[in-house]
Amino acid sequence: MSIKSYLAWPKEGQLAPLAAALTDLPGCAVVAPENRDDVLILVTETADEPEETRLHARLDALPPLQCLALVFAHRGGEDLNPPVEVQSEIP
Amino acid sequence: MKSLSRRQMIRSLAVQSAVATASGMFPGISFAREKENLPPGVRWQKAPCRFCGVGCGLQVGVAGGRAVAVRGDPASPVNKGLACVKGYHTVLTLYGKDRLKKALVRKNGRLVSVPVSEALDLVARKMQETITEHGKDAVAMYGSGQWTIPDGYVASKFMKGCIGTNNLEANARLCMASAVVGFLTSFGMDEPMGCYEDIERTDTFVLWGNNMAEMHPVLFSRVLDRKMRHKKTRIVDLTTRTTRTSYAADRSILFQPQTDLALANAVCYLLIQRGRINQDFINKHVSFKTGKTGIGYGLEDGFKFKEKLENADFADLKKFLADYTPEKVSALSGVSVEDIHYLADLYGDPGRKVVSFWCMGVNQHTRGTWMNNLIYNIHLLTGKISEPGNGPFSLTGQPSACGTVREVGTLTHKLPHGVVMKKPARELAAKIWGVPVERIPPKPSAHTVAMFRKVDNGPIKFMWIQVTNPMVTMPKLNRYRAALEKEGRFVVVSDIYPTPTTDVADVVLPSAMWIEREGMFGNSERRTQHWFKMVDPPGEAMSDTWQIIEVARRMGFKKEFPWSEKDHIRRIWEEYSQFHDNPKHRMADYETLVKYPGVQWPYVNGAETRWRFNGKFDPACRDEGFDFYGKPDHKAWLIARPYEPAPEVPDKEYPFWLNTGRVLEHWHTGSMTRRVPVLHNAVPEAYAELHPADAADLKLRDGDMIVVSSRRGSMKLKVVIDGRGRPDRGQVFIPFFDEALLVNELTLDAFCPLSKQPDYKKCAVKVEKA
Repeated sequence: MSIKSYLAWPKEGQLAPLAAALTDLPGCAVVAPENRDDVLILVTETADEPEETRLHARLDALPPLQCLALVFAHRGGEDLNPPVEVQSEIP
Repeated sequence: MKSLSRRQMIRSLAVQSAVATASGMFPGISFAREKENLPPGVRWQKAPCRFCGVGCGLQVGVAGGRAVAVRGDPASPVNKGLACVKGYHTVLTLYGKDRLKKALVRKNGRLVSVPVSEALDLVARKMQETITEHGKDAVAMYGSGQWTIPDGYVASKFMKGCIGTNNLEANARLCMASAVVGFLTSFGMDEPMGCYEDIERTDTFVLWGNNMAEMHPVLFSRVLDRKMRHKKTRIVDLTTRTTRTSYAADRSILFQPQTDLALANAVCYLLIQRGRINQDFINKHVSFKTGKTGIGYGLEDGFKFKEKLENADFADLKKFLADYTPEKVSALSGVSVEDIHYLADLYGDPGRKVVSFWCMGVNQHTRGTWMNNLIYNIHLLTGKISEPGNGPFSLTGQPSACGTVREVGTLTHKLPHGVVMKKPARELAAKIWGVPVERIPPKPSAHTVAMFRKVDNGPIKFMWIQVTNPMVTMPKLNRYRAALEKEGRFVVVSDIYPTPTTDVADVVLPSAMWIEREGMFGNSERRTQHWFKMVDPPGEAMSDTWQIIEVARRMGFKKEFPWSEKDHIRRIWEEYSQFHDNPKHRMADYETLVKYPGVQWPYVNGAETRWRFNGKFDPACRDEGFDFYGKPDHKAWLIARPYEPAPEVPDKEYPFWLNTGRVLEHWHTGSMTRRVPVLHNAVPEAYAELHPADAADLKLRDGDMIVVSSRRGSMKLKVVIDGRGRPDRGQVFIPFFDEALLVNELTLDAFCPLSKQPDYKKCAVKVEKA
């Protein structure tokens, strides 16, 4: 399983179509800013490498998308679902 | 402790990383839907930041009875989801290892733990004994712009209404008093007429001696965002030291210390000479005045000064300004004639809106009130005031310097409404407090420096210090430390950590900090911000409000402090609000404060007032035009103020100017932020900045040890060359956050005779290789 986040820039005036198109893609979630219309956050989850490749092909084909910048990437084959304690970082 | 899956945590991390990156690229960006990605088990509640006067709204995450996270509140109109490095680490300041959890009482020269009830008994008994033996003016309280509004309110009621002494002061005297007297002399009412929204509506920022990039970083982000979005924007940095703000400015103009007075007058000279004034505004809304000159510096004990303003007219002002031609001022200040013209052109351009910002550079000045007046003069001549995007705006340093010290009035001459010298103000206070009016003294007693001098000289025998650290911050510190340590003085200190001030205490009371109690702060733009108690204080720590109530009750004032511990903050707010029940200063009710991240006063008919003195926005005005209703003639007063030199200037023996100040990572004396490892490690110790050419002359390299000495003391520390800041030639800058390197042992206790605010920016020192 792989989890990544990106900053996504729409073409001018295309934020809403971009947000809608990204939300429709499997494994994709969008976090839009409240006070800007020129950037949004895309979070992706894919099960394996082939799925990741397929997703990128679909992203490349999205007309409203101007640019995608990777911010965070976690790649792991391990089970990501076992519960863990929330630890305070405060000593 | 709740559990969540590793997938949820990584997903949350992915979102937070993207938010952080976006925030760095787009200052002010806010993601409310980020809440949807919160890990479970963390409860988020609003609170204003604990630190500076900007008053950022934060959300504090609590889990398992501890504050575990903090982030900027996207709903706050102040910071729109941003926070600075101190704000992001605020909650860590709660959990330092040496947090005071028990009361301490000095026995046989050593501080030993006692139950807090025993310590409170002792405080009440010593206070009463001192009053009985030496009179009520032998006791004093010294508080803070970090007091919550309820802290300051009960302090005022206790000292002025119950005990009957005006020996009440706060450390805002050291940071904001010149702004207060500036407002009062020019407009008759305190606090800025505009608001932070001016930032998004102006074309020009003129920063008078104000390193906003480090001292007000979130507001400065808004300034930079405005510049990015609005190409016409210009930022001008007027300074004696090149800082991070200078690098972000369109033009940084260095001037010689103290000559800002002349520079402001030169701008006025050019505005008039070139016809760039708003004559219609002046005719309708401005009165001309002159004040006393040659007013002294307050260096001697018992110094007294009384201002007397005389009527004048526009012709008088023109005549007065004839001494401030660009050529003369250039020779005095070191600012080029071209730069003076540039500044006047920006202010005078009728197609350009202008906001002036200032803070300590203008206020900590032996002519601080005059400098405030002079900035107002520029805005009054151009009519660029009290409207969106146009206005003079004095920023505050502390989170509630405005809310507590200026609005509640925790200064010797003040009451929650009005001044002690006015009978109606005393009568109103007596009525609301339920005390005899004769008990409130009609004369102010001692401002901060005079109060500590009275401890030294003897009239004050007992002092209770809360939420401040004067044994780091008082100028000419050696004198005032020795004063508190004298035989026959009794010092009580309420704080959350041991400090150099608790070192000289006879009793130390452990305080509850910030979200360990309910409270309100008031920020620079007249915004009152409420928060609830979120976590328990450690050990026997108790809020400063409740400490005062406990002592007052022990001294027989139960009737005056009848509230229960459960709802006392609400009841205090309701009582305090009665003082401001008028359209010029009405405060929001408790429920409204609870509901919103902050509410601006005057709050009239359910609406905040963004711009005062402008009838389009301010319901207290007579009509839709400008109405400076703080003055009896309903006009703003333009007061001619000259340049006068500083009391101590560099000479052969002490050839450098000393300038002191703060750094981004540390809050004031560092007693909280130095206990957060990441902040401490960023700036672990004080240092001395020198200009590279001066360092070369002294054969100093970066990191060398030097001795900096004044006529009052000396200190040994590292020199930094071209670090974060670069002083102009002939100047040294040393931050004051380090209790191991006390720069205030070198500073001078000269003050502005009108505001009584000391000047921490100018005295003479020498620099030698150690």
